[in-house]
Amino acid sequence: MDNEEVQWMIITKAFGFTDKFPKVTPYSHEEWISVISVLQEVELEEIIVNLTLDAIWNKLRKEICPKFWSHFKSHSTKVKEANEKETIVDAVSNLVQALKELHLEILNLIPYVERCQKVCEVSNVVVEGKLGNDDNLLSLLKLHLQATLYSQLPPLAFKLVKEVYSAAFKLFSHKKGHFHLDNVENTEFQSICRSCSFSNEDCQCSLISQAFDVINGILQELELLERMAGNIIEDLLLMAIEDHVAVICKDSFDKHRIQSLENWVEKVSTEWLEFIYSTNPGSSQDQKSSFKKGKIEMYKSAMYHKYTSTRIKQLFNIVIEYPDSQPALEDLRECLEKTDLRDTLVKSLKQAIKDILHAYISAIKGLRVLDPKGILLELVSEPIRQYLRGRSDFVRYIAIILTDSSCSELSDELVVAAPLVLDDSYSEIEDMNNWEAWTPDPMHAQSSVKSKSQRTADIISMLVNIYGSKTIFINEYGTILADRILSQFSYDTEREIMYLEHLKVRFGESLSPLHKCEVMVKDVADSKRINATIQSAEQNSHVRHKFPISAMILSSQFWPTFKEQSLQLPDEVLKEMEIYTEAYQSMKGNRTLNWKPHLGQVELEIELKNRTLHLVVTPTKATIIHHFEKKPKWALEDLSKVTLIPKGILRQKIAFWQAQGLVQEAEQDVFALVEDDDVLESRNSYLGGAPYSSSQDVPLSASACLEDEAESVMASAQDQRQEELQVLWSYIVGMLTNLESVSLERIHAMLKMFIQDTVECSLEELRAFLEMKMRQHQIILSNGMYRLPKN
Amino acid sequence: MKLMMSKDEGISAFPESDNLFKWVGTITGANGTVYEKLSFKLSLEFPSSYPYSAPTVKFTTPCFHPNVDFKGNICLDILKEKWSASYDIRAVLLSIQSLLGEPNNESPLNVLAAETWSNQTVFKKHLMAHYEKGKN
Repeated sequence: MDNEEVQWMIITKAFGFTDKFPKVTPYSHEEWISVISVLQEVELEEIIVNLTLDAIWNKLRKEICPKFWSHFKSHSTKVKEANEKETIVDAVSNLVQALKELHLEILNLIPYVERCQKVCEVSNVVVEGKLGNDDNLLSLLKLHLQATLYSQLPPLAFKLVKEVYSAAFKLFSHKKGHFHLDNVENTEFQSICRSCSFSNEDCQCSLISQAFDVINGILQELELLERMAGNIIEDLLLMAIEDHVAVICKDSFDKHRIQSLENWVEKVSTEWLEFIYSTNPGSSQDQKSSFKKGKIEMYKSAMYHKYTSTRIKQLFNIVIEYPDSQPALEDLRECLEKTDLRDTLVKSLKQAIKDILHAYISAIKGLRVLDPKGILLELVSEPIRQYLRGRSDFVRYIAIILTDSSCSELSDELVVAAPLVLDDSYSEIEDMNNWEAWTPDPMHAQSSVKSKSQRTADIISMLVNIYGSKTIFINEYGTILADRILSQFSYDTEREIMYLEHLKVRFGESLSPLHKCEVMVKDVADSKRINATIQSAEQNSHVRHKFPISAMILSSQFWPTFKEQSLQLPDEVLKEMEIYTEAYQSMKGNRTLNWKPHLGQVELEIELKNRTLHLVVTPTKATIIHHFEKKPKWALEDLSKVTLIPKGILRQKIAFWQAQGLVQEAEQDVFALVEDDDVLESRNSYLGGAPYSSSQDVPLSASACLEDEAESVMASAQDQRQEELQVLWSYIVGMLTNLESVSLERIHAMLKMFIQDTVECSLEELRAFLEMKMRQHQIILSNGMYRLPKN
Repeated sequence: MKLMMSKDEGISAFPESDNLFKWVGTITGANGTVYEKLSFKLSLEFPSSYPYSAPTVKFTTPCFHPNVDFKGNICLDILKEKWSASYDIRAVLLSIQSLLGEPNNESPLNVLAAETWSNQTVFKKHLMAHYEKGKN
């Protein structure tokens, strides 16, 4: 035999690449040495190694992987006919079979790869496709295996893996008893193994668990576990966690769950990870524990997420069960910090609130079907009405939405021209013409609820009725109307008249507060007329005016109280106002005008050196800037004296001009006009004497900016309350002057007796009020008796 | 009603209890008189025929005054024959307040007081003696 041929035979035998890698014949050390020496002799190390590896990769691609996957394919075709139990066994055996074959093949390849590795170590060989320098060829083999497997991935491949692992997980969970998944089956299917659903006699649990150990072992050895099953392992536990959380959270809000859930997740996930990875021989203890820690954290955050979203879904019920649900809410707060579900919470809560409103409306409608007479409804809705009655803002809110055309649901109701039927307006006399339609009150109606011939028929009646009195409602409407008229400050009242007409139909013509509203609207129309008359008269008489003036003339008796604020207008303005008053007096005979100088709006044109400002502002602001016209520098104190504006408010108003860039604070409490040498000429056209909201100062030019304040001109409810209490106080002083010392209860009783109709005041409120007076040293409390201090 | 709110300086009145026919009144002596800064309590009792007959008004604080006796009874024409239904409690109390400064010495109930009225210092001494006695 030729020497070269012998050498070739030795090499091919050692590396097996020509013969599709037959079963390896182990070499002794001496034999190996001789192989190496042959290789070195022919100087073919590099070629041989690369040739071998190429052949291996080729075998992986062409043979091993397709064979491996073929098991999966055959399984998925079989599944269609088989039932579930059998599929599991089939899946397990399939997978085991596939993996065992794969394992054998790889085991057979490993010695060849090791030989290549040894060659590489002996002589300097460059391997194609090798990644790092310290990578040995074995890991390269595993990499190639993974890559090749994945490149040939058949569809549905993971179905098999999933089935197997699900079965394993079931096994695991029953072994550990962590889950209460199937309580029912416990009792009914005793004869069936809960883990594998086979009957107890031929339970496959041990088979599955053995096979599973094999599968896990091989996958880990080949470093395929993460690739093949990592997601599945994770998903299984996550699903279990979600199920568990859902079960735990179901309908119970009265206990803290987070802590126990945390513990549970930690325990279960640790055990699960151990169950899977216990056979992993490779990685070190440190790596393992950090890996485990990361996983557990992930599972925990999944748990928080699930818990939060579950709770958010239950939020409606949780809120309703407050305060029993306090622990759940606290848990939720804790979890919200750990998750990003705040938006979901808001959305869900909004939905919940909508649900409440919807429930109320549905309750009204539904109960009306049940009992057209509405007695049932009346009984049922009492608590809601009681609550709403306590809400001071409720009437106002209803009045607003009622007349707000953008909220069509209610304003449409208003337009339906049906007389408003209210409890206090119903008549005993039944409609005799319609007697056939009469229905008796239901039997279950409590006797305390008086039978009423007609009951509230529509939503507006229902709402207004909550207050039991339309007077309160109309009063509130009056305030809103006043605000609106004066804030718009247009003389256009068409819309208001329309609403008023609707209300009149609803509430009846005779109601006196409604009459007030009518007067208010009429005042506006009158003002328009009077302004026109006076102005045309002036034109005829050729009186020269510095600026035009028009007034909103309000009949004081019919308007709600305004907020008061002192303001001294400039003399020129006062003079014009006087002229206007005279004209009015000559027209109206014995009537005169009482100006409200702080209310109104002023159109200003301010000429500066380089620009002209066009603004519409409040009289207060106009007055301030007017003073700067004459004297460019003002101390806050002096300006306050001249204008009679309190210093605090004055400073606020000056801030507006500061924002406009016209005034600056030159030094502490001294303000100066910007551009001193400029001639500031302001031409005012004063619309005075009329109250309206300052929030409506509409800038006429782009250079003007909006004013900050948006306050109502009406005295606030709190102010009014203070005023009322002041009335009480004068009574109390009178009482104490004459009766020397009186107990709180007696004061309350006396007040109740004498002035109940005008001012209502609870015992608690009275106590608070008297305590305030005590702090002001206006009253003394000794031995439970109040007395006045001796002076 | 107005009276209960004590708007007027120097006079005020309030129902004694929930019985609206019995009131307590308080009068402070007008400035510039010997009664300046002294306050006197009165009881007012209204007959059922009020306002067509006069209320019974008495000082409960001892008051040294020519027209007030030691039991506190007051001799004032509008409380007697000159009563008119148009008088209210306020008018009555104001009349009594002005009576303090301008006594009618022609028909005294308290002769000593009427005699010493001309000598204000002596009168004041008597007045204060009575007043302090009432306090204790």
